[in-house]
Amino acid sequence: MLISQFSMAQRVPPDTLSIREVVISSYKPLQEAGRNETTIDTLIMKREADASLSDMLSRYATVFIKSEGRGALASASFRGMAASHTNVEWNGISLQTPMLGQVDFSLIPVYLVNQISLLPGAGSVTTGNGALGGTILLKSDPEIFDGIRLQVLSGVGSFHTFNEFVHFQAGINKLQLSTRIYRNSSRNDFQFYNKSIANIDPQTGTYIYPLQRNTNARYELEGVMQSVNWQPTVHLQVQAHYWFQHSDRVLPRLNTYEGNEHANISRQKENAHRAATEILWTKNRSKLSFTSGLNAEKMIFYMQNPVYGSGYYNVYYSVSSITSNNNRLQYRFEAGKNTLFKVGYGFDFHHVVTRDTVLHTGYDQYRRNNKLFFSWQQKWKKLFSMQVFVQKEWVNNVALPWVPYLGFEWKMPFEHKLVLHGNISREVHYPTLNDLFWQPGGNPDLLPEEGLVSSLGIRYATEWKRMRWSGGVTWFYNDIRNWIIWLPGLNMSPTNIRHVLSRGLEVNLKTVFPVRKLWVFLRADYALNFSTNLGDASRWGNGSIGKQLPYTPVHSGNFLADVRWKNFSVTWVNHAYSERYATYASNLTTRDRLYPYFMNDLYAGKKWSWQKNSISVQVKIYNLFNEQYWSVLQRPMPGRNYMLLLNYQF
Amino acid sequence: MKRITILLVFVSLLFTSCMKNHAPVPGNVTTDTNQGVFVVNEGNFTYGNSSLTYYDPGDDSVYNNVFFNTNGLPLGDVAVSMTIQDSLGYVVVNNSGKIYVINVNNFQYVGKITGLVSPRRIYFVSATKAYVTDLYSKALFVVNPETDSVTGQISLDNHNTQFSQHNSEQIVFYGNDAFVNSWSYDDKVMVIDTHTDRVVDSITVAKQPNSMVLDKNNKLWVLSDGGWSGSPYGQAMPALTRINPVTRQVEKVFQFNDMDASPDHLSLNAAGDSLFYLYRSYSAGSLIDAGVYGMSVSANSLPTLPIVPENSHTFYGLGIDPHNSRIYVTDALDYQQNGTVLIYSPSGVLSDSITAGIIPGSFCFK
Repeated sequence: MLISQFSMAQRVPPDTLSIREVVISSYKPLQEAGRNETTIDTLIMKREADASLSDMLSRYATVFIKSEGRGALASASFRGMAASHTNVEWNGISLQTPMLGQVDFSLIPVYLVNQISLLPGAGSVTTGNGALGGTILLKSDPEIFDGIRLQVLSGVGSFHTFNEFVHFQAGINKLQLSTRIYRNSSRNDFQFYNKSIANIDPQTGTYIYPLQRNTNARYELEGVMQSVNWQPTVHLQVQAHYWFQHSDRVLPRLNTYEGNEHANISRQKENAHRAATEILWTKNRSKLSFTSGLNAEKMIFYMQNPVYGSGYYNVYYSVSSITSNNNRLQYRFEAGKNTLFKVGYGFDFHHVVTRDTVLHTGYDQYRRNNKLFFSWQQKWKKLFSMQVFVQKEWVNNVALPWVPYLGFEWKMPFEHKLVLHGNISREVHYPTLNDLFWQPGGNPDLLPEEGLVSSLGIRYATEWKRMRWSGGVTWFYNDIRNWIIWLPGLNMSPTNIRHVLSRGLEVNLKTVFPVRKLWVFLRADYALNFSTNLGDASRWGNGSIGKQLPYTPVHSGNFLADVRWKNFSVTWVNHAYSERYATYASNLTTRDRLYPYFMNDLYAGKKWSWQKNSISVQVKIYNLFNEQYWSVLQRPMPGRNYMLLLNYQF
Repeated sequence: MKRITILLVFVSLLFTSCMKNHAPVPGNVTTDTNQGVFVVNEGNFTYGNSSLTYYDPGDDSVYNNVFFNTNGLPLGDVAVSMTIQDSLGYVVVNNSGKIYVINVNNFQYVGKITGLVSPRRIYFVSATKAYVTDLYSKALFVVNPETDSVTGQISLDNHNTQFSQHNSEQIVFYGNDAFVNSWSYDDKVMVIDTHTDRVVDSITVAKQPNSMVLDKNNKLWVLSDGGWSGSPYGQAMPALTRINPVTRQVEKVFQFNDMDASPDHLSLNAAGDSLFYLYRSYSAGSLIDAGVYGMSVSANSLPTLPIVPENSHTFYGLGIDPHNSRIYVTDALDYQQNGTVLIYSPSGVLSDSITAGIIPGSFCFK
């Protein structure tokens, strides 16, 4: 609760930051009971406006981001689960495609959203689109105001990086409009010493590590987002969003590559049209909402090679069209001050056509998801609140197991600032269309992944002198069966082989306080995560059993220190992962192991304001100590690099 | 203020540390035995974690990661084969576009052939000429082993607009001819004149010829997997084809009786009179009679039962020791842990097993 209040505190401009405006309340909204939802501070979102969602989450959340490189594919996973177990909702529609089952977080610029919430574990079930790992909720709601506002953000950085963003907002009585236009591009050609290859000095016999450029890694991202909020009466509200995005990326080769300079060059282009509408009708104790969304993506992925005497030809050229329609009708009824009921029906329709024009492979498949859900939330004596949720889903004509959820929050009678919270749920993840139908290798006999997901934690918030603290500790325990992984063979093919047990702790701490004329804001997250494979040793050997899942750190954490004086600000950001392994191999060498990852960034900014105008300048230094590191084996990452941002608003 | 400073220093110590350099320190491993077995471990595609294992059957010792431990460099992404020429080992690293050259006794990296596209195997024609087969380039690369350089290419491209043909996988030499099988979406064995480096003929076999050997009678045997169910190239019955390399005519075709079967890794024993291959079929969703099969080159029919049943293993690679005909077969387990090499007598009795690297795929016998 206090964390969200802190978020409110951050919405005031830096030069007028005052904690006295924040009202500390013991009232807990019913709908949040037991969900353990965290919201990214608006202060952080402003600081990271030019970043991708993957970069921001790696710095400020206990979500593990696996990045293939700067601007390249980045996936997110909660609590040791797989990337396909993370759902992302944008204004009520899922961005998780039925084809791949995962979201590329490097393709979501932070400045397109004005609220980011994280629902780890069982709490994600209550959105109606639960995921084994968790759900990330993104909102791009127009701000409610009368008048006109304009924001122009322009950034220039190392490696020919340019980020341009324009945000126009208008509010006229009951109508608010928001238009965002953006373009991010980078040549991304940073230099690095490649210590994965070496030439032998003919004189001395010693190794010479080549200084190389990260070639074939450029990216472009451009798009437009239009949002409308219309409230014709006090009972009716309509919101609509449209988002078009085009991306074009060249995919760099591994740094062990020493083949033909013009060979094995892969490129990925995507066009995505997304629309979301929400109609909300409220009267007395009832609230009826209808959300409908459309997500139409076209992805082109190809690789070219030179052929002797014939020029270039495509090794593969895959064109995938994904169309998803998400609909949800929900009725909510407050039966008194302490009781809330919800009942809803969801219908999703997906159509995926994927064709490789070289290999002549592909599939054309439909999927219909129907789901019914019911929720009961109850509060007793302002101290104890709980939520019971149950959902039944059908995929095409297959009925999935019932998904029950129980969440609670209990304020300690002796200390109301201390809250005990917990949740437990059964969750089911149906295989993606690629899992089932990919050619060659798709496995139509795959079983859904399912398991028990739970957490228990405490949250505490207090104020001491002029220093406000909040923090919490959450223990989680997830037991997942029929985990799907793709294995090689004659063709790559998925199978249900793993039983994964994931358990650990998450700790967060936050404080804000004045020091003479300075305001200091500190926050830190830490996660301890043991995600181990408990598969069948008699079938798959015992080399994997009991081992931490590949690319899953046991320890991860982040720390932010933000100091502000008048219109100046300095921010230090640190995020860290402990060592990760690429496989289960027991005789591990540094070839299979990623060293602990400690990354430091430093931001400094100043803001000038006059009348209704403001200009701010921000300098960002990434990888402050010029560390040489990898996020994924054999994928180079840049050393120290810079970004200069100019932000004009009126 | 003092408390705040202490707090900041404390937190910064918690979260700040120096990351280590990725370049490991090379070590020394030496084997001076005359006979040994290299296991080429593919590693996971795009992980860059392939490796080399050395097994000395004399004293039953196993050295894993010999390339990395000796040279302090990762071998690369998807090492697929190794060939020994004199005292040098040529390790082909497919998705790194190169061939590492190592000393087979101390595993030291002494050179490399770079600039390739998607190399599969290297075959020596002479001291100054070798052919490198390739999955994607529709050509054979010609290299000079003395200078470790690419000297030319032999185009195999048939300009088929429907399917990408012809790739190259293995080579068998007979006289002045090199017989090259085109496996992927193909049904051809190409014939190349090693003097002129030109394609002079092609032989049609069953779909997707994946491996070949030349027996003691100088007959060329070609094993085809028939493709896969739903393949746009079509699926045919897997078959073992015997070819006379002199006349370039197909002499005999042994058809398997199960369309879902996928035989591969055709190998030959030391005497050249027995064929071995891996076989598995997922008919009706379950594994049927999978394992290592063996047959005489004079047999009139395919064997019906395996010499080595697969049982609970997942056989992935096969090699026959040219010195004693012992059968080496790999189990990649779940493909994310170190795989196992199982060693059987020529009659199929398990004699030993060793732990190799991730996805052990092929063997090179010293």
